[in-house]
Amino acid sequence: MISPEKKRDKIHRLNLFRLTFFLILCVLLTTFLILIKGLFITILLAFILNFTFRPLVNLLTRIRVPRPLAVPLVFVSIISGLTSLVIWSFPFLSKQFGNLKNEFPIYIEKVSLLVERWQRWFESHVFSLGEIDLSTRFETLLFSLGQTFLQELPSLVKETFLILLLAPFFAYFLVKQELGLTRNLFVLVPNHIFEMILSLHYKINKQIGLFVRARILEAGLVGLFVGTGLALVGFPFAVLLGIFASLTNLIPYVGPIIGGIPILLVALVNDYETSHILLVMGIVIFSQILDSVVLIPILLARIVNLHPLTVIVIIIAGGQFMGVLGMIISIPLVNALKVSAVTVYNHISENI
Amino acid sequence: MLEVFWNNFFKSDKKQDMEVMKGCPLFSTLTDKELRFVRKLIHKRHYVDGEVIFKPQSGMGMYIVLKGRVNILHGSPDSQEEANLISILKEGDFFGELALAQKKGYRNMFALATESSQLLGFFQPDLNLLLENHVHIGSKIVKQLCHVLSQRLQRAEQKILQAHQTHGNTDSL
Repeated sequence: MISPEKKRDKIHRLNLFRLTFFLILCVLLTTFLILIKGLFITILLAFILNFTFRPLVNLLTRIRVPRPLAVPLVFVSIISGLTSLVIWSFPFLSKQFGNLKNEFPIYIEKVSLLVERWQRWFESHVFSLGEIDLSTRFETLLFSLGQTFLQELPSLVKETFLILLLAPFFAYFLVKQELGLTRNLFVLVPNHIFEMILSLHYKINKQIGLFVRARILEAGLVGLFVGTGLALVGFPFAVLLGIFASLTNLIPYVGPIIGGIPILLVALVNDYETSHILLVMGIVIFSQILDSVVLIPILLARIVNLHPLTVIVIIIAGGQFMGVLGMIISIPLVNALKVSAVTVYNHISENI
Repeated sequence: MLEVFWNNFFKSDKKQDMEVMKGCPLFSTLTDKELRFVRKLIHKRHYVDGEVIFKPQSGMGMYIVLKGRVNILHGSPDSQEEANLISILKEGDFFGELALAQKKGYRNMFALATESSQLLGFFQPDLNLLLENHVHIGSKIVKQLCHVLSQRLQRAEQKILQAHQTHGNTDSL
């Protein structure tokens, strides 16, 4: 018969060993995902798709459609729906794109003219800027920006294509697993923290799912509103600007402003009347008011929010690590981390 | 120690699991097909002799003893010698089912493995999943859960009644 002290000691060592093993595995897995930069984004996107499609598949299983049938059904119908939408709107979209490409030099010229006009007004009303020629500087800056964009375009398209192709593929298998892939990892969780980890996994999963779906719905609605509004008043590039506004809307606080800038520029360059410009800006501002007064309280009320200063710091950090994409994904990522941290903290403080 | 990992990773006695689960009142009304699905939701856990299975904390669900012996005790797991033994459970017995029905289940007792044991754990998130996506299975389990809990309530009421009676008797003496 072993003494109780010895027994306890042995269990303690066993738990320590299991915990270390589990933590090492978690750390290795995370570093692996972060190190493979391209794959990281693919997997992130796959998880977002997973959270978006899963409820649809669950809805079908609820009416007793077998899951092996429900998953392909949802994926095929959504992908074919999107493809037909793109094909149907392709002439229209390519026309808008073509117009943009043709008119881009004109736009740059007009913007620099605008800057020149402003400079003259500023000099005559306030004080002279001396020898600084703002408009030429602006022109060269815009041209070099445009050129780098065009140079990077092929590799950007290749990368995006790979991500776009791989992410649904990954997501398919994620959704197919009704219980989730991470479930297999539970075998490795040490006994003394097993129930806690189980509860955390459940809560965090639920929160992140809610968050992702709410964000996508919110951005989509804002984009739809801006796009429709602009199209109704006969504004050029309405669809493209709407898509851009919905994408930038994913970045809190700063995003809506970034989304509004090209709209304002297009309006100014086209020499619209002041009333027309005000109308267009009114659409953008109204969509933002609608977003923050109606959509966010309804969709995102239950989800923790970040302080504006934190958001700006995170966006800058995200931009440094991964460029524009980093700016968009850093906020959801940090928000997910915050949800996890709050859940862990609450759970532990409730149980002490 | 190696044995623990070996068992965790490679050994899957499906048949044995299914038989033990069928013996548990919660799953006794399920068909074989339904039971096979529920088995995928179950977590198989291994405990060494003297290991605490759960503490008097908020709980997530129930366990069925697949192998070994489990003691249910009242008191603190840190001073096990002073704890009161409530019951000894053997293969096929289950415990902790109250946590399945509670919103924020708080456990009064703690469970201790007194041999190297294998348990099957069935937890609230998985019951929720069944109730959301596979209502026909979930409702059967919940019905049985109500049945088990009502039996326990009845037994508890009887005990209270008995205690009252004996209390009344001692008063009259």
